[in-house]
Amino acid sequence: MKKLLAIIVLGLLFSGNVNAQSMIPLKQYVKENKQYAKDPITLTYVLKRCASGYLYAAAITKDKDPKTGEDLLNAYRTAITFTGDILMEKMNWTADVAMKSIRTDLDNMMKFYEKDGNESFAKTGLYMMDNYIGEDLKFCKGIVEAIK
Amino acid sequence: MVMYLLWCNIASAAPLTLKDYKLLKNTDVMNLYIEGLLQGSKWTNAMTKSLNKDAKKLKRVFCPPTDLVLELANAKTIIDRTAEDLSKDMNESEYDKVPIVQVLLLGLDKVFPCK
Repeated sequence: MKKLLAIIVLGLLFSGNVNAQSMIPLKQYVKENKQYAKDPITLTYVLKRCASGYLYAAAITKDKDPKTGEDLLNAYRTAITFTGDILMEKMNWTADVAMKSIRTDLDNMMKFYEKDGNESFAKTGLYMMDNYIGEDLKFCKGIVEAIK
Repeated sequence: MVMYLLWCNIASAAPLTLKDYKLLKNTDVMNLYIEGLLQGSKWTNAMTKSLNKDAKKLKRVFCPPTDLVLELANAKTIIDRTAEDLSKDMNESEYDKVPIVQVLLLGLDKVFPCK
């Protein structure tokens, strides 16, 4: 009985932890959507997540470490340019329509990163380490290096 | 301290190199990074084809079979083999500075050449 109670309590704790994240980790998204690269919408979702992750990282880094902040902004620019290229090429969108879509999605994603980063900071003193935001950026570094 | 160094690697503009690969091989950080490299390489390859569909002599970097799903394990095997080949032609200092992205692209070109 004690064992069962322990399992229930741990299960509740674990599920609470998972639900605390506002967005699915990119690694999980890619794993669960093996064919995502063939659909420009899902493909650009990943790139927009990278762009917003880099923008968030730049925002919290730039005052303490301007050089790293600038590097992060450059990575953001690379991701955003490639996203725009895909939307214009594959969806036949104009630059204006593509930019509006990117801006809307980035605003929303940034809010989630900000919320989760602040919560992580309150709990651990770290914004991006040991959570899905840091994991997203590790994955995104590979993407940005390959597309630039 | 280790976490801080890893974060510096991720935040820095400098590409990760074979030296980093040796140090971090089989860590979560390196696996995530290589997965990203692989996805980015595939997209760039596909976009090159799409953007140059009218060009007659376009050469993509690599041409994998359409029914093959390239995954992390394949990418790591390709990097390992290509790095081993490079080590025969370079001294240790040169070898350590080679960006992993270059090693992967060299390997993909060799394993899946475009005919």
